[in-house]
Formats: sequence, structure tokens, C-alpha cells
Amino acid sequence: MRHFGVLLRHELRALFIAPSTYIASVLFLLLMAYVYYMILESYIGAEHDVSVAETFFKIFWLPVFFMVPLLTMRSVAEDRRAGTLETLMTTPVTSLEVICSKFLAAWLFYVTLWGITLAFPFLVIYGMGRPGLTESLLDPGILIGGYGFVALSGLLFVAVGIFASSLTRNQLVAGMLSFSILFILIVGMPALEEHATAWELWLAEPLEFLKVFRHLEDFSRGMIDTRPIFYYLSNAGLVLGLAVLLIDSKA
Amino acid sequence: MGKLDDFVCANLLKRINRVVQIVCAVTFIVGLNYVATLYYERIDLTSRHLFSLSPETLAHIEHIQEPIEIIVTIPSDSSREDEEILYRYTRDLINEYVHAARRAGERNMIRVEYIDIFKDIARAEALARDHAIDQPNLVLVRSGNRSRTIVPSEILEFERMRPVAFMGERALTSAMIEVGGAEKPDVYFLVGYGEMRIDDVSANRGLSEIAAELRARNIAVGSLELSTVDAVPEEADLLILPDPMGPLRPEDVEKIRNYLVDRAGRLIALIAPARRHGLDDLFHEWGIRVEDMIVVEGGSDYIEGSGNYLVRQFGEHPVTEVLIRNQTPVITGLSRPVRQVPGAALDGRLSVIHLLGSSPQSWAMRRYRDAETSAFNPATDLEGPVPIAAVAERKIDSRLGISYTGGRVMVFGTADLFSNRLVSSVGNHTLFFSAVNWSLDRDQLLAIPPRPIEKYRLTLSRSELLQAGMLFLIPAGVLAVIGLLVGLVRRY
Repeated sequence: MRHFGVLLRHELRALFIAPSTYIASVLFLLLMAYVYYMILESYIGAEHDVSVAETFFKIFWLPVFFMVPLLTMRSVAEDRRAGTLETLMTTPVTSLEVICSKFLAAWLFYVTLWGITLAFPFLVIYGMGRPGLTESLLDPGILIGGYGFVALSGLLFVAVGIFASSLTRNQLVAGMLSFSILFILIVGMPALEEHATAWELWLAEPLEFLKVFRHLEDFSRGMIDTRPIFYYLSNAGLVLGLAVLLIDSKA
Repeated sequence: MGKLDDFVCANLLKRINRVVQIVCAVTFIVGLNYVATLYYERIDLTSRHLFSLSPETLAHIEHIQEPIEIIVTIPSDSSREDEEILYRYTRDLINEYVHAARRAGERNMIRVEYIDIFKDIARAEALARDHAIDQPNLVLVRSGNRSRTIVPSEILEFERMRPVAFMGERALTSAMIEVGGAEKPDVYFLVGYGEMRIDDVSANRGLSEIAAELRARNIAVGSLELSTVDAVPEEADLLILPDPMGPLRPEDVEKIRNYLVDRAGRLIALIAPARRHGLDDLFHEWGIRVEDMIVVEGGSDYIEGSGNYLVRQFGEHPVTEVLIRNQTPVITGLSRPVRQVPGAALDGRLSVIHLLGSSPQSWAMRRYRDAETSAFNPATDLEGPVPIAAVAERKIDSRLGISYTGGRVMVFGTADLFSNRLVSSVGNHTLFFSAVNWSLDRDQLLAIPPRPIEKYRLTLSRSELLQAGMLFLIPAGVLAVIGLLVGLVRRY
């Protein structure tokens, strides 16, 4: 992994100077600002059983479905289409370094964008001078758990995007593939569990383990479970490993 | 050229190699995740540790001897706020029990099943057949042939019809101790004077239902005829005297007295109006008087459609705690006053509390045998509210100056309160088992506080909200400016 640092810097620099990065980021932040605003509005004049932050994290899937494919679809597919991947592979870098650098750059970008949304509660409390709302909006347990979940699940989601991009040389196909796999992971599992448990009871437990929303529910209320940590880390590693094999086989 | 150098063959080998790598990697990941599900930790980051089980519960889970099955009939998709809270909090709590059992190395010691009795008809029928449960919002805790049903009022605390606290952990752990406890308290129902019987299934005089439920709660139930024994059996933890038809012989009263005084015994007595019971002296020693009067109810809000009386006045005591909290009435038939001996000089070690009372519009009539008299007579009658049940507790001081419970006597001035006909009423059922649990000290097994049910609401004006909305544009705006600057720098 001697060249990993160089490749990562290159990927980050490419992200930093690309206009599409800023367009996507601004759109993301506008969307999240709107969502946060709507959530605040719903909490005025009506009591809720869960905090503002928990409700906010419940819509994590919305940016995942459009940001992750947009962010990752060109990473490998574009290099392959332009023929730069083959050129790159003739240099003394390994496919593992290439995949890891692309993955880490995309993940850092994803996490940074989510990190900026942490500004919303601070803007309400300090920007408007309403320290009385600190307890309602800035519960440390919920925020640590919620943003921890976003960062952790982001490992797998971004890895899936990189994997989808390494399957094809067409960016659009890569994006659609990425979206489909993420959809199955996030929405398909609960539906599958509902139906599968009706046939076979023993399936309930493993399928429950795979439910992303169940992990979110735990984390976003401040309950950290080590099982999802293993799940996301190990599966991100597996998916990235598959992407490396794909690069090796096609290069 | 060797066969392995052949292009097709080498390509095939490469492919096989990749497939083997993928299979190995997938197997490793599945295995790793499986191990992770067996050995895991859950860390509660909430400031008040809202999702952590109490040390009492954890200690009990570590010592579970037999598998425990929990069946939940709370619907998961209810639109009612209280049912939605009931389901969510109960599910989260039960999950923590399952996790705790696994961490303790007892992987399958707690099994959980959720049944929607309106959707899963086959399972609902089986549940009704096997456990006589055909209603939603219940939690059945079962171990071996013992079971205990937890009702919503034991799980949620309400204030002005809204749930304010969750008491599920106390209820669930208590139920698990009841069904799985190694120690089995002995409760004797006295017989020999025409009392209500535990083997009687009739509606008015039968106690078969409470006997069955006591057994299901891991309590040994038996009948005891005092004239056939020299003393109350050593193992007796509680005596219940359910409405004797005639006065007890002095020697039998003496046996009860010795049991209460010498062995810090517990007694629950049900004395119907107009009965001569022969226990006046004994009750007097405990500061209680059972009057030979009849309570006449005057308030229409306190009379049920079938003519029974509704008791809504409760004295503050652990036995009536749940009834007061949930404002649940108790249904009784005719009753007589049971009250603290007027003017009794109770020493500091004997306390008497009135448990139940009739309405303020009621009164107690002394000359009830005189058919011509039905009006209130201030000279002889008692003004309402009239106490119709009382409890006396005696403390004993040890040589070390520590005070501990010496004996407990609870007297109800009505007989059919716990009969098969009335015990199915929520209030009567709760009252009976609270009385038994308190008498057996079962209510003191756990000191698990209720968890507050969090409610979130923001106080922002419309203009403040708009101001917040404008502020939320700042991060996107800053990023857009940076993007423009980067674009300009690159261009020029």
C-alpha cells in the first residue's frame, strides 16, 4: 500500500476541483435543510415521542439513494471507459490500492457532507440565541449514535457504489446498479423478512440482523450495538474485495 | 508446452481461483458475523441510561433455571398513541432481556413471540385454547406449566388518560420471578365453617379461578381445616379466611392468633355482612373493628347496572397503589364497615390503614334487620364514606434496633369480592393479587423505578421558524461560494 497515499490525495483533489462535487453538495445540503426545517415545523405545537434528531436520521435513506450512486458511479467506470484504468494498472500500483483510494475518498466526502448537517441544530440554538432548546436538539447520545450510524453504514453503501462502478464501463448503468443494490439492502430486507418469516420462522433472526432500519433505530436513540459494526465493516470489506477481483479480472 | 501453460486451461484455472477466493471470503464474512451475533455488547449512550436493565433484572436473568417464553399480543401497527407506545417500549424492553440472556450465556433461555390476534387467526386460536388469552395488549410470561399475564395497567402509568411512565421492567421481571422462582409460597384457604372453597367452580361462592391463577403464579394453594391440626402448618405463608358462615371456635381463633403473633403470620379475611365470625377479639388486638352494620350506597355513580356497588375510594397503600394510579373501580356486593377501632391507642409498632371506602353519599346502617327502618339515623349509623376494608401491620423491633414486619392482617367487609363471578373484573383481580403479593412481600422483591415516557415539543414562533429556515441556507451557500471560487481559480 505504498502508493495509497498518493492515489488518495489524487482522488480527493479530483473531488475538490470538480464542479459536479459542489453542485451535488449544495443540492444535498439544500435538501437536508428543507427536511430539517419541515421536521422542526412538525414539532411546533405537537408532541412527538422521538426527538428531532431521531426523526432527522430516519430519512437517512433519502440522500443515500441519490448521493451514493452519484458519488461513486464514475469512479471506476469512467476510468475504464476512458482507458485510464489500464494505464494506471501498468504502473506499480495494485488494484487494491486503486479501489481503496477511490472508496476512501468517496466515503470521506459522504461523511463530510453529513457532518455539515450537524450545523443545523447549532444554528437554531446559537444562531437564534435559543439555548433553551439545547436539550431538545443536542442530545449527545442521540447525535453520537445517529452520526455514528451514518458513518458506519456509509462504509457499506459507498463500497456497494464502488463495486457497481467496477462492474461496467457505463456510468449510468453503474449508477442504476448501485441504486438497485442499495434499494434491496435498505428497503428489500424488511419486506423480505415480513414474507420469509411467514414461511420459515428460523429466517426471522438472520433477516432481522440484516435490517438497516433496525440498526438505525438502535443507534439513533443512543444505543450502540457491536453487531452492526461488524456487519458493516466486514461486508464493506467483502464488497471492496469483490471489486478488486473484478478490476484484476478485467484489467 | 505443458497443459497448464495452455491459454484456455490457464484462464480456467484463474477463474476457478477467483471463485474459490470469493467462496472463502463470503464464508469468512458469514462466519465472522455469526460469531459477532454470539458475542456482542450494547452500550447505552443516553444520559439517563434509559435502555439499560436494572441490576436486579440482570441478576435474575443470570440465574434463570428453566426456559422462559414471552408471548406478546400488542399490535405493532396500532394507530392509538397509547398502544403504539405500549408496543414500542415493550418490544425494546424485551429485546434487552433477550440480549441480556444471551450475554449471560443462556442463548435460548428467553424466547419471544409476537402474535397479532386479529391477523394471525390460527395462532390466536391456539393461544386462546392453551392459555385462555383472546385479547390484544397482553404479555404472557410462561415457564413450564406456570404462566403469568401482564396487563397494560401494569406496564404504563397514565395521567389524565395519557401515558407518562413505563413500568414494564418491574412488571416483566416480577412475572419472570413468579413463574420461574424456586421458592414457592404456601397459601392456605381455611375451611370447616362453610367458607367459599377453592375447588368450587360456582359463580357466587366459588374461588376456583383465583386458585388456578395463584398456582399459575408459582404459589402453592391448599385448604386447611383448623380443627384437624394442632397449629397452623409451619410452611404456611398466608391464611385466607373466605367468608365463614358461622363463628370460629375459640381454639381455632387461638391457632390463628398464635400464627400471627408468634410467627409473624399473614391473614386475609373476608367477612360478609350479618355473619357472626367470632374474630372480634382477634381483630381488636390488631386495631380493627368489623361492625355489624350494612353499608347503604346512595350515590348513583357508585352503583353498577347489575346492582353491585362500585368502590372508588381507596386509602393510600401498596395494595391500592395500582388502583389509585389507574382509577380502576372495584365491584362489591353488600358490605359491612371495617375500620380502625375508634379511639384505639395504637402504639408506634401497629399501624392500621383503611383500604376501601364507600361513596360520600353512602352510610352504614346498624338496625338493618329492622325492615321498617331504612333512613339514616345519626345516633346509630355511620356517615359515608364508610371504610369497608382495612389492613393492620405490626412491626417488631430487634435487639439491634432494626424494625421488621411482625404480621399483617387484612380484613374485607364483603365476601363476594373475589368470587368467580367478580374476580374477572380488572379492579377486583388487581386488588386480590396486590393483596396477596403484599402479604407475601412479593411486591418488595424489586425496586425498579418507572422510566419516564419522553415527549418532545418545540416552542418556536412562526417568524422564528422562518428565521431558522434562512439560517439553514448558510452551509449550502458557503459551499456554493467555495465552489464558485474554485471554478474561477481553475479558469483563470
